[in-house]
This record gives sequence, structure tokens and C-alpha cells, in this order.
Amino acid sequence: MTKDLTGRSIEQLVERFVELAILMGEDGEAGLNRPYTRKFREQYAIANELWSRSALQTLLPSLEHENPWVRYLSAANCWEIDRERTEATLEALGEIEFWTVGIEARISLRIFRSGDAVLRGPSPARS
Amino acid sequence: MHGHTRWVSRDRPDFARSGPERCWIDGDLIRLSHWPVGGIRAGVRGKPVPWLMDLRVLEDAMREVYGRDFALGDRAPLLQLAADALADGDRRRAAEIADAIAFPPPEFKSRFRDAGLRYLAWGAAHNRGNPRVDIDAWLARAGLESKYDPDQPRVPRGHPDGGQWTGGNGAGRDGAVGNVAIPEDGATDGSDEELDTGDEPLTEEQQRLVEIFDDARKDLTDASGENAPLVLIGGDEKPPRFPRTKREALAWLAAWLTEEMKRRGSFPGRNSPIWMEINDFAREWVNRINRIFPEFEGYWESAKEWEEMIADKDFRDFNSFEAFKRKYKSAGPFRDWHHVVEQGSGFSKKMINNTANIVRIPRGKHWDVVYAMTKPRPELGGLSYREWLVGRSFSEHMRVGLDVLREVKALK
Repeated sequence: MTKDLTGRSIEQLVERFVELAILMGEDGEAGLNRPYTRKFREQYAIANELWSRSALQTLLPSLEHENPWVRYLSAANCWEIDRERTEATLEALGEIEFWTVGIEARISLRIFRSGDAVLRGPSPARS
Repeated sequence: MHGHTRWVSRDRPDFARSGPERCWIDGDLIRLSHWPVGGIRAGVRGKPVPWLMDLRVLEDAMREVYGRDFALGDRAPLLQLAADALADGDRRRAAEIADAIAFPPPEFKSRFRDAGLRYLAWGAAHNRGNPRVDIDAWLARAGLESKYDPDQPRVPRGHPDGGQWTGGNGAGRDGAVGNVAIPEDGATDGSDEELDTGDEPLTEEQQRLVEIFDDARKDLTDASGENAPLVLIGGDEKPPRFPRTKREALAWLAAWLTEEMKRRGSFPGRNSPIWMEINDFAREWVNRINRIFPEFEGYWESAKEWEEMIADKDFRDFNSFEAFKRKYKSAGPFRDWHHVVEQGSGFSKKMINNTANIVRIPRGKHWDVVYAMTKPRPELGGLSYREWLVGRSFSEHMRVGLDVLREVKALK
């Protein structure tokens, strides 16, 4: 699943990230954990690959995506590179009532603010 | 199905009765409580056997089923103690030892509960990238890697050492560092789930601890041969693994402790209370582990928190969730009982099944809570709350549990 990531361009990775986020939203709102987790693993590997190429900021435009799950998952992965924007996005999503994405945004925000988050550290390409 | 329970005679007054239904047949396992002590033919289930198992009776049964001799004691060090006592003709003591293996006295049990060793074993079972409790991470940190190879040759059946790993490419069961080996070039297998374990080398003391743990794991996973009757943990087709349940962890730790006692050469005397010494020994090792791996320190706090919690006079605790429901009945239509600190979190049953930990919430909210606990999170390095909480203190479990309840608006 993750082996061919290095062969993909950044645009392809971002495209797949967004695609997965939309599908994960459907699983997430339906409470389907297993398919969600399967897609999560792929998406997380993509985010790590973007990070290793110092290209995680290419996810930032997704913070304006029409799908709230794309906004949420982009924000959760971009906290290290743009705290201000991701925090604002998560706060806005946290206002959503009755939908799982709202709960997730609130939990994520609390984890980030508590300092419990496991951040990726300095990008290998930058350091 | 075929009346296999005839092995366990109800007319053996010389054996300690261990209370109702502590021993029964479950699937293809004979269980002492939840602890599997021996495999039998699959297909026999649901036969409660309310008597303590006689090792020899069990071995007879094995012989009958598998058509060859078994020495169960060879595979579980504490069972060996029982077997030794049997050999001495001290049947009463053998029965007491076996009883103690399956059901440690409350004193020992409580130390056990709070020792954190259990969490260590239990948590490591998850092996899902939580570096706090991952034995493989320790091995990697020590510059070692797991060397389990299912294709490694074994001593054939029929031999006294049947099923044991044998020399193969020179690295035998009695190799330098248990079943781990120093990689030739420091290279790893490149797996996706590899942990970033840092570069700090293990001290000599840590090294020793890793070896002991690894030995214990090996001892419990050496289920030998195709017809291995003792399915403690793992089996022939499966790679060795850490215990996945608390009961397995109990067995695992007991075996480990006993092995260490053997190493120290100090067995409890015939007339000494067998668990007193193990108890002291466990305490000593808990202190050592605490010192060597400071990241485990949070585990030992549970006992204090628990004592504070039960100081509440309205507090009621139960030995099981079923007992709780017998008292409080159903949660009502479209409502569920929810454990704030989850049932699988590894704390004792009374810590989990009590009025301070169980709340009544709408079923939809309950689903939301379960989802929120199990969903992997990028901000936690891909772990879910449930995974992230492994090995953390009771108060941290409680804090997260309450926070999630607030998030789903089941709690104000």
C-alpha cells in the first residue's frame, strides 16, 4: 500500500489524500471503524510521505475544501506547519453539532492544545 | 460430545476443591478459570468441570487423546512445581500450587494488579506502535531484533525435547541472547510500522531485563510439535506473541517469576507459604523495572487513585459487569451502561465495574463514544485513544473517558 508512494508525484498524493478524506467522512459519519481505519493508514502514510518531502503545506488549500472531513483531516495533519489556520479550521468545525466531524474536530483541538499530540518533528529535508 | 470430562473424577477427596466452575472445557482448551492449561480435541464445549485439575489425570487424558506421553510440567514452570510435589507424593501441595497458579491469593493478586508488570505484558501484546510498552522497541533500542523464524528447524516429535527450536544456522535455543540476535549491519526489515526508538543503547541492566522477558516469552510460546497439547500463547503456525488477555498475562508473569526464581536458586520451602516469596520477589522486580524504565512509573499510581475513589461511602463495586447488571438491571430502552474507563483497559474488575465508573447514556451517544475511542488520530501519531492509553495511569484513562463523554455531549 505504502511502497509505491515514493513513485507518486506530490499532486497525485494530495489528490489521493482528499479522495480518501471524503471516503473516510462517509465511514466516519456511519461509525464504520474498520474501513475508516484502513483508509486512515493509507492517508497517514501519504501525509508522512509529504512531510518527508517537505511538501505537507500542499495540504493547506484543502482547509478550504467544501467537504468538512477534508478540512478536518487536512487540519489534523497540518498542525505542525500552520497552527493559526489549522486551529481556526478545527474551531469552526467544532461548532458543527450532531455530526461526528464536529466531535472529532473538538477532540483533535483539545489534544493539540493539551500538548499530548505526537508531532512529526523537524522535516528531514529541511534540517 | 464424547464425554471427555470423565478425566476429572468427582470422587477424589485428596484434591483441593477450588470452588465452583473454576475449571472447564472451552472449545479445544481445558481452562482453569480463563487460563488454558491444555488442549483437547476440538468440538467439546460448555462442560463445566468444578474440580481442580489433577496434572496426572490431565496427562492421562492427553495420552488417551494424542496417543503419546506428555509432561505438562515441562512447558509451564509452575506446573512443574506441582508435578514435583506429585512426584514426592504430596498431592495436597500439588493441588494447592496448581490452585495458586490459576487463582493467586488476594494478597498476591492485589500486588499483581498494581505492579504494572501485568500492563507491561498486556500492553506489549498490542504491539501497535506504542513505544511505552513495546518490547520490540526495547530490543531495537538495544540494537537487537526479533529473530523468530517459523522455518527454523525443531527437534522432531518423540524426542524428549520435541518441538524445541534447534540449531539451524548456528543460533540455537540456548543462543547468546535468547531468541534475539544482533543484526549484522544494523539494518532493519523496513516494515511500515517500525518505531522510531531513538539511539540510546540499553544499559547492562536493561539488557538483562530484556533477555529475561524474552526468555519468558520463549518459554510460553514453545508449544511443541503438531499435536502440542499446551496452547498457552501462540502455537506452531503463529509467531510468538505477548499475552493478549489479563489471564494470559498472569500466566506469563507467573512463568517468568518462576523462571527467575529458578535462576536465583531459591525455591520456597515445602512448608513455607508459596506466594510470600514470589510476592517479595515481584515487588523487588517492580522496583527495578521502575528504576530502569522510568516511563512505566505512571502505572503504579493506580492503587492510590483507587483507594481515593472507594473512600466515597455511596461507592459500590462488583467483580463483574454481570454482577453489576444483576444489581442495577438494564440501562433502559435505547440506553446503555457505559464504562468510563473501558473494560479492556487492563485494570482490575472492581476498578472497572463500579458505580463511579459506569454511567447510563443513550445508545447513539454510546456508539459515538466507542467510535471516538477507537478511531486512529493523526495527532496521536496514528494511534487511537484506546491504543494511546495503553500503559497510562488510571486517572489518565478516567480523564480521557470523561472528556470523550463531554465531547459527544453525553455529559455536561
